[in-house]
Amino acid sequence: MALKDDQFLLSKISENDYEAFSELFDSYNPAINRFVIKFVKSSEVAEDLSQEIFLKIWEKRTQLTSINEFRSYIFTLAKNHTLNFLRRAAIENLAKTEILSNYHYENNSVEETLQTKQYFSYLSDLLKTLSPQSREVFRLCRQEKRTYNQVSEKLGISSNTVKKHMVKSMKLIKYAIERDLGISFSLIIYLLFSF
Amino acid sequence: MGNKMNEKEFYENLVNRYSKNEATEEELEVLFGLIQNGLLDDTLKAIMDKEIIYEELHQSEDKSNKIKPLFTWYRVIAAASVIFILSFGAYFFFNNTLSESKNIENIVSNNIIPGGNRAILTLDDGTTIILDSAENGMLANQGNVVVRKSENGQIVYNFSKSGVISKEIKYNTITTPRGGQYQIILEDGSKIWLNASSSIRFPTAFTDDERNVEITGEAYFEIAKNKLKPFIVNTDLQKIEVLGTHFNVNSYDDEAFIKTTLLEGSVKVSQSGTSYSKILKPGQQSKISFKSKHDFIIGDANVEEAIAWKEGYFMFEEENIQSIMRKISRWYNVDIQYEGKIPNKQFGGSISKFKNVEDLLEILELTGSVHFKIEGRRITVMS
Repeated sequence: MALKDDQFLLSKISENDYEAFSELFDSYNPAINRFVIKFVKSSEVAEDLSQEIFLKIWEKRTQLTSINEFRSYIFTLAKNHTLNFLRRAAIENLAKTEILSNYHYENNSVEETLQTKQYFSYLSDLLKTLSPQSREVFRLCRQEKRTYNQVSEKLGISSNTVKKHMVKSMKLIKYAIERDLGISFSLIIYLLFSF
Repeated sequence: MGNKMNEKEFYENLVNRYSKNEATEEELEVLFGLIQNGLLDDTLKAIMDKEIIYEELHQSEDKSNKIKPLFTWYRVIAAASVIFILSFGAYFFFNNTLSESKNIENIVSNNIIPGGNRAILTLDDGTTIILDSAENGMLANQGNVVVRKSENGQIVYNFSKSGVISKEIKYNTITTPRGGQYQIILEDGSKIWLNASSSIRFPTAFTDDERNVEITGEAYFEIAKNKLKPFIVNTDLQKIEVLGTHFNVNSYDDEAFIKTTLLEGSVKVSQSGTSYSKILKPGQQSKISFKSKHDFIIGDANVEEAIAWKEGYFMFEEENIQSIMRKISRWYNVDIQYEGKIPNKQFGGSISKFKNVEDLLEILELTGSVHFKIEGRRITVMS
């Protein structure tokens, strides 16, 4: 999206124009999602984080016109949000399980170079330094991954779930817009669907 | 060692491998350990910055193709393969621009919607129950087994202690039409997902010392562990024997092979009418040819591709248009015909199976190597 378009949208958004906001969402959300998912693996988490990012933008809308380069602004937000989630995952089992259960290992057999040998020897050294507790937690999450997958597989089959999920993802933004502008729920749904 | 890899290099490698899904379990363990100790922050930030630059390039690629970046897609044409990747997520619900700019010829307007939870249950006495219109709750009481329909397209078999004890084995069959799928929980707690145009026949209770079921089409199994009673899946060409495990069987007879893909545990696949049998390890797939008795191959599976249908999307991996159209035909309940030369390109990518068929075809058309015409429930494929 050209900078000029961004500036135009941002100034409209700062005047509470939710259609402009939707447009901004549409043009940036795919890239943000793509970026976030590389680090959090779960598409649901990625969606939630994206929603939070856009929510933040909506909440700060009155200050948006002072942003020179919106693109780097939104990606900085995305970077920080993603980093925070990873930090949370490192200490919180649920978040860690969320990542692990969506992480699909791809075996791109690496050439055995001196460098990879050094890499793996470094790895095994570090592995030894991890505390028994943190290793135990990791193993727990890996086991939970299975039950977790069963639950999500059970849900995955229903198209209803897709709808539910959609509603969940849109809830935050809808809530914020509704609260700020006092316009009705159904109208927003209509707007989000119709452009 | 003198030239030992330094910390920074190691961190960079680790994070890179993680972002590309190349890190093993052990590497993940170390990764989270390092994050927890705050040691990876700088590396993560640096690699994220690189990703952001990559995204920018990506974005301009989107534009040069004159496609609004509404869908996360890009295309790579390499040699004879055309790859499209479409990320599916909530945001495709946010727009319907694609359907407005439709250039697929739709002669008789007929909205072809995706499949859903549809199936027919046939009881032992031949009674049939249409599951999609049946109300939730108890459907049938067969001897000491109660059949219930629960939410989300699921049917559950439960042993009832109060029922009449009968030694007689009763068989039920669940059949999905084209455009249908269903989930079944058997009396032993095993879960089965049935894909479109498939069927499963099973005893209402497993009183034998083996748990035998028969399937046609495609199904995914999560078998409850019971070492004393092996679970056996019978299809036309093969028998799969398991103790407790997760696997997918694709046995559509319009495909070239019966494919068995193992996710967890181990299974023994035996070819019917021969003495061949092989044990699969997790992540492996066996293929038995419908045509030649001697084609019984085991290799590494693309597990994600094998179970994509169950997860709610189509995933094509270097697939030809005919193979893709067979999947479309089963899920959207449409007939396929070809006009002129059949395009010989390979397609790859994934897309939600809850989109309308026009949207899916539109994406395929964007590759420029195939065109479609929709008339009623018939899709004509043109090169």
